[in-house]
Amino acid sequence: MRKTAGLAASIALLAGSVAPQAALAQDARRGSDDKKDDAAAAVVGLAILGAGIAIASKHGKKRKHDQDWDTSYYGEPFSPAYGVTCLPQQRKCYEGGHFSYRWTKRIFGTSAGFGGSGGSWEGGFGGWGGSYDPDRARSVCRDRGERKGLRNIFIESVTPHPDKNRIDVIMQSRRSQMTVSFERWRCKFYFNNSTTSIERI
Amino acid sequence: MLRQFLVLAATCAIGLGGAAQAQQAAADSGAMVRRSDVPVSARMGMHVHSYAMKELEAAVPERDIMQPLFLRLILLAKQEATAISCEGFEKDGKRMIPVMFRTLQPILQGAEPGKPNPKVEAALRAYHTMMGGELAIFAQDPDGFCEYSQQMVEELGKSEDEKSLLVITQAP
Repeated sequence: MRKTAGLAASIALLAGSVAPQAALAQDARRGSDDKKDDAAAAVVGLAILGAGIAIASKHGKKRKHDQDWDTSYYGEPFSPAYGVTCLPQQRKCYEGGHFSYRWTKRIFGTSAGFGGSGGSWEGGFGGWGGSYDPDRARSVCRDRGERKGLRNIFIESVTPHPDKNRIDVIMQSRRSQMTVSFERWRCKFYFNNSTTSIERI
Repeated sequence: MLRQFLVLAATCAIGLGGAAQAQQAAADSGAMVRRSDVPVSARMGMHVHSYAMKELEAAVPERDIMQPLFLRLILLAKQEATAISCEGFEKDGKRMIPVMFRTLQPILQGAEPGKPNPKVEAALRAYHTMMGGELAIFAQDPDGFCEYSQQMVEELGKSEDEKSLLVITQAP
């Protein structure tokens, strides 16, 4: 169906581009009355050209929306577990086709959603978030690593750091799962404000 | 003949099992997700929320205020849609107004009575947009919607802080 539409758009484009040129070529051999007809033909040709471009661009846009994420809206959605999709831009997760508050908390934490201004909000939420959560550190660091381009990540260790509010996650990254050699990366996860920094060690 | 058939069936089963395992491993590793692999109901929610978030972001550019506000509005919109749609849930009318007022508290600063507040207007518009989206998602998958609403209510009930955002009650 799309191929047919694309073909039609191409034909319209071709027809639109040929019509004005043909009209101009004949213009020299004709009188002024004929020139008006040719001008009209040229206008029609341009209209066809415009319609062709519109159809082509419309279909291109639709095809993109069918297959790709608009990263300005969604970021780069990732899956922390089978059947779960998380959106970094919106900082929320879906499971089984529905918004999952449980996964949202697990991946982005309550401090990710409620931190910072939490203390200034009346009637609760002030102390919510910012607790020691190694699972979350592991998930967030893996995500950051993936987004940095690390592949086949294996979490070597997750340890609390003497610094308050910090967990160190040591990750191994391999070019392929069969590769013996690997790079080691340290991800410092600050769970009071959900920030991370990654460095190769 | 029967043996050949059994061998073929076993081979297919092993192959399919391997493929499923590979998919599981890919998902567990935090792999990127293709849009076409996401269920329709989730795509509906994501699209509505992304629009609502853009609207909210334009009016409330401060990320540390916008982000928690956005999540709270989602939780409230989903609760209201749950009370409307799912059997066994009732909206607690007495709680809704004070909880919404608390939710909007950070963007009420500087507001003058009687004068329009673009931030509050944007927040309420986002709220109603998301509530409409949630109602549509219920229509698409009623059982799934109510199941995850139940899970959300249970999660919100786990701590005193989160409980303060509950605006629906559940029949015992």
